[in-house]
Amino acid sequence: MASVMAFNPQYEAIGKAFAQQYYALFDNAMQRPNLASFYHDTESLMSFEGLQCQGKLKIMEKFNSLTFQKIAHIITSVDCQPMFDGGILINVLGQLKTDDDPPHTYSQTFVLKPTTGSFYCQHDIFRLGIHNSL
Amino acid sequence: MSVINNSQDGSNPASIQKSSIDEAAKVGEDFVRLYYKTIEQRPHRVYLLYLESAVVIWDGNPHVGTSVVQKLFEDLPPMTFSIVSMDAQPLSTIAVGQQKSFLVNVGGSYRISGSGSKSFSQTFVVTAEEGKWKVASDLFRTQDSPNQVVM
Repeated sequence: MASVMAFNPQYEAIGKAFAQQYYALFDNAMQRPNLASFYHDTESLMSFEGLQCQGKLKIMEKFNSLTFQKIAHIITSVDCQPMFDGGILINVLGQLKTDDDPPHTYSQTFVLKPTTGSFYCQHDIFRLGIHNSL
Repeated sequence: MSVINNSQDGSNPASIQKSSIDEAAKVGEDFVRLYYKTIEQRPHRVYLLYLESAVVIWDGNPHVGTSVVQKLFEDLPPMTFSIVSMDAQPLSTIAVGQQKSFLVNVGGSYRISGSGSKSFSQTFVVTAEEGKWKVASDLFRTQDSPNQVVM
């Protein structure tokens, strides 16, 4: 087994707390701009339905360009794994609803990277489940 | 997609270049193709695509260690997969030892013979070991259809 260099033993709690906080901010139009503090100026990568953005500015631009009035996320499951550098791998499954549209499933993967005293979101991959609906 | 020059902050090993983003897409594609083909056609060999130290969480259940992972795949019923989406990003820092690694997220559906299709989401951390791409972390979740949630 590879050496346990910097595993953060709190990874599960941190991962779950991050997911809750992320969607609480996202779902509140007044608070959504605060999501910017999760992303790094240059090092954060986001794939949103296949569209790649890099860096805080571009990522927030993408969020600001979304056209719904209301959005609500409900988390179905959160799986977390610790990474060697103290980071945390998180996979969220859930449902979301925008405006009066029917609910859709979604899946979102985050990688949190440790920084002094905290974490930032270094990777973010978001996919709606609509493509899979039968 | 803008290119981040290493010279912008030469001391920062975490800068991500366009070339590594393209590489992520290629590695993701190749790996995903191989992985699901192996599950479908040679499930008894899937465990070979995992590092010995790999951690798998399959529908909430953890599986760690080669023999455990081997059993996981041997015990799965025959499944066919239909992949709808694949997203890959380079992991810029030392996520797995000293090797280059990638984050790969897959969305699609699977069918167990005799049953209906189910959606799933699978997230991998893939890393190089002796010239082959192997899974270091695996998170697999079956995704149920959305309920009519009262918002």
